[in-house]
Amino acid sequence: MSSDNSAPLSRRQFITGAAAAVAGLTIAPGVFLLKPAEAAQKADGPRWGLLIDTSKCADGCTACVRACHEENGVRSLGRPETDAQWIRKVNLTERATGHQHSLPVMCQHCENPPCVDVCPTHASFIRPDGIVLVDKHSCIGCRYCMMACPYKARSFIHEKLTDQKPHAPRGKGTVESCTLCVHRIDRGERTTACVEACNRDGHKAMTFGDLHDPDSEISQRLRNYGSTTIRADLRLNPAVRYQGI
Amino acid sequence: MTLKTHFRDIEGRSARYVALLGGLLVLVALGVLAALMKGSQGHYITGMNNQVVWGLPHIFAILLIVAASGALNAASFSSVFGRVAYKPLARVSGLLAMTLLIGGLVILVLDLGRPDRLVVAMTHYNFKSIFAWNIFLYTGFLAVVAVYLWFMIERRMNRYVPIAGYTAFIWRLILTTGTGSIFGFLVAREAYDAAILAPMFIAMSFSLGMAVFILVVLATFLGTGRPLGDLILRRMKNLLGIFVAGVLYFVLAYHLTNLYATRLHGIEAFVLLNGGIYTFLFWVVQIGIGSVLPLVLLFHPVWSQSRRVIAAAAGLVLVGGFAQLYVIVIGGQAYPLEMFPGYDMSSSFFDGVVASYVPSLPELMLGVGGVGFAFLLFALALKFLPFLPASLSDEHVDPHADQSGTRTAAAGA
Amino acid sequence: MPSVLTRAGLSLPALLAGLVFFALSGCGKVEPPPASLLAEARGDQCVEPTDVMRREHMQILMHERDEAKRYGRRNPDHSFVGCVDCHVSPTANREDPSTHFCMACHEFNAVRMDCFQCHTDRPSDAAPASHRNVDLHESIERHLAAHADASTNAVEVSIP
Repeated sequence: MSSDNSAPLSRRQFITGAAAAVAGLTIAPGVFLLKPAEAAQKADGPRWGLLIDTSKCADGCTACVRACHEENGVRSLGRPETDAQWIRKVNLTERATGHQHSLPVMCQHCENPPCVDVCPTHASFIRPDGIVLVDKHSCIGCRYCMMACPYKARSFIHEKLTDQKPHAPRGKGTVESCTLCVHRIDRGERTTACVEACNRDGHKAMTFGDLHDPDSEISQRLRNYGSTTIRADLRLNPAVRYQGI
Repeated sequence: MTLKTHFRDIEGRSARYVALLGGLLVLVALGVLAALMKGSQGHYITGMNNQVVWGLPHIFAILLIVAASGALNAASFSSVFGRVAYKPLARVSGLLAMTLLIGGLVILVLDLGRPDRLVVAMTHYNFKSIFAWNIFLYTGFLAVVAVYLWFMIERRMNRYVPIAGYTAFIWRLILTTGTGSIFGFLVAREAYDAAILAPMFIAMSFSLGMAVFILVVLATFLGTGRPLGDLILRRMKNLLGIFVAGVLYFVLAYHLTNLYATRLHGIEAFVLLNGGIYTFLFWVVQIGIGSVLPLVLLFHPVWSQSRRVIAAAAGLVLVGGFAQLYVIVIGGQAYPLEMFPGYDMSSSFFDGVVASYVPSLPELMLGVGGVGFAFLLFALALKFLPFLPASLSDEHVDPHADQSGTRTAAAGA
Repeated sequence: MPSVLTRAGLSLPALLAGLVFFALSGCGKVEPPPASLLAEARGDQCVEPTDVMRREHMQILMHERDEAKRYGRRNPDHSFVGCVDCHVSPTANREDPSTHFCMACHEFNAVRMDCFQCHTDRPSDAAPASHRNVDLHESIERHLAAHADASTNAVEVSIP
């Protein structure tokens, strides 16, 4: 039994040694993640955003979804679980009251996007005008951004694609999401496919505009009527804002 | 004074060794085939989808990576904590740590959507991403352990072994912290976003690594007919028991903390009560046959004397660890994101419903391929370099040990 | 014996140098694409002289790619879509390189590119009208004549 006598000592030494090391090391990584909130504030230049008035969003209407997917060449391949969806209609039922309504959800183009934080290769990035995109030239398809996104906004391309739209390159093995119709914005247009479709159908539930321009329609509406964001508790400051949730 | 330990490479001509290599090569071939299938077809042939984006390959990979860090236990006990009994096992411990890590990394890389862009991952770093940090931690670990092994094998460098040992020990703690933080830093999902995941992964690395190491030591010594005393084995199984209890402690603390917060009752009910396969895996596999049963086996006064029981307990710990990672990785993704607290939600994109995930054959093939690759490297290294001590009989381990405690020596062998 | 050794010692570096020269002269040599494809180019002229495009199209695309993607500063003259619009036939298929302007040349020169894994391999709706009715032979002759100079100095081109 003498051989066992040394065991408690070794365990104690071992565990205290390990615990001290762990305590020191677990704190360290967090330090890098702190960033002054002001650093991201760049008031010069536009910040493109959307305002969605859910009281005007019609139940069962999917005009914005169809327009987006048509515009960007996103098609179903008959496998719902792996098919990409850049925008979808979400139906909500309040548990306490039974009140029902629906609203479109797409990439929320956060000011502090978790997908950009976690991307190992800088493939997820935010443009100076606030649009969050995936650079498919450097996306390695690790899907960590999909784990990190609180809005389930991203899709992974699970199979080979053909017949992409010239302005919306998409390919197997990379991650993608709503681009806020960046090709239109870069052409100088000031609307997106979803907003256009919603207006065409007469619902006028969606407004596109520059959140930094105090005179823009979207800024005035936000100032006059207020708004909220999805998962406001995360303080990500999305550029897609909602009324009537 | 311990007796001088002699290290000898294995001959590697026996039919058993060749058969082992053949078997491992088959596993590797299965993995390569799976990777080719994924590369040409895309990920739709797997069970992974836009809801459950990380699947079986990631469980295999994390299991291997976590176990790799823990496989270094024996070397650390010897170099850092001065337990001479483990010194003869330090080399094989370092070697196993390296090969397990390589196996895990190969799985991760081959599961990427664009494995051909590995060079992008190696040249473009986002230092805010714990994933990018992990690339450094993993490659750095391989380098540190390689130097550590060199110092141990090269007589002139022997005096630097303690420095290398300390570096490797600290590095492995940071490495597992990084692996746990991949999940710990995910603020979006209820199951993750917890600082305790990092120390929990460290505890898991100790227990899973010890379990693999015990099995590997048993297999290599019995397979090569080298003497293996019960003294070292008994120490390792006692430590394994303590590590398993340590993991249980972190699991308990994690769930108690979550149960206190009302907003997390949904995910807790999902894992603990009504999650179907995940609840089963948690209670029956992870807690029951992966933690409690091994603890009973390892500390039972009679049963724990048998090598078969110790091996079985180590195997069960690995099964439990697999189940635990399944619950963490898959369960955490299957539970729907709560975007609108207080609302039920539904959509065509599987919002508000538990996501389905059925593991597929290619994923399993890729996973076992990585495991096969790790052990193939291990088996080949044993043949070409002197990693394995010629004997681990009790007088080699600790000549002062009371011989009465080792009477049952070959009972289960 | 010594003299043989000396001779071998002298000739070995020469041989190596010759080999290196041979290898270097081979790499970076840009061959014109098969003539059958040239008829498909539309519009009057390319955005840059042909020899510049042959040598530097990859640098131009790569350099301005990040500007366009990350900052939205797009140069319509150097856009990837612009290349495809002018050079690729609406009926081309990347799976059959002989029908595809870009793929044919890349295949011929054994330079791998993965642009078309994501980008569409066909011209957009805004592409200039096709010159299909132009006489094929006449078009090839004209092209070869116009770029006879370019092909002679193609050997100097090397891709780092």
